[in-house]
Amino acid sequence: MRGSAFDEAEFFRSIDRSGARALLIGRRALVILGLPVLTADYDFWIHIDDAASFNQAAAPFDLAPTHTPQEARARGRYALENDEHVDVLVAREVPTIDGQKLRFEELWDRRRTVQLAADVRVHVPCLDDLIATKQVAARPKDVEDVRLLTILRDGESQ
Amino acid sequence: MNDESASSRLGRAREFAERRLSPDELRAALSVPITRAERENAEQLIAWFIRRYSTPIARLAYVRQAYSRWTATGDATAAAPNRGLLQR
Repeated sequence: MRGSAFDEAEFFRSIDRSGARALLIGRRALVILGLPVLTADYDFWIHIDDAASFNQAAAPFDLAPTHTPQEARARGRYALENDEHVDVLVAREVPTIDGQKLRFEELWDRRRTVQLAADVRVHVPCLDDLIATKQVAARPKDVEDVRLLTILRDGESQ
Repeated sequence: MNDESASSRLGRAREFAERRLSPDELRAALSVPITRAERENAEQLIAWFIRRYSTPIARLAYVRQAYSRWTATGDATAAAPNRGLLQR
């Protein structure tokens, strides 16, 4: 399947049905929550044991993994690619740039589930955790995203 | 502007946006207070986006289309001409 024909809802449906514990992170998570930002890629953080099932969910879309699940676990990340690009973090924990440890299990427990369609769910980190994930790569655009997320969080807490 | 210079400028902009900040740079950037104007502008953009694209799947589809237009034209304002919204 070429990217131009990529069916986004079907992609998320396939992941949801796979049973893989997958958190959508990165800017597409921001978009789902209502922040209008541009992005090219999909970014997921998956449970370290779920790379194989995640890859199987992506296979019908001709998304090929750059590494085997075993290699991916050793590296901590890999990608699924065709015309689309899906970055996948597969680690028990990752450090932010200032040394705070983000643990998948904890983020998963605090996740927010968004209904994309009647039978399609996508899981994203809660706002505090999403803000924390932005401090892993810590690029200038992540700072901008943190500011937007902070404004969104402040609005929700009022 | 020829294609090469546009491509080069885009590459430099991307490189700048993708560079990793040092912990001190990050702390400094995050310590800048959010001004009232910045907050109001962001809240208006969020409200517009959610009103115009009322479901998560509609928002995803819009951004996908907007990104395609942006890469075709190199102009982020083409993505949201009325809002100048997606220029990141």
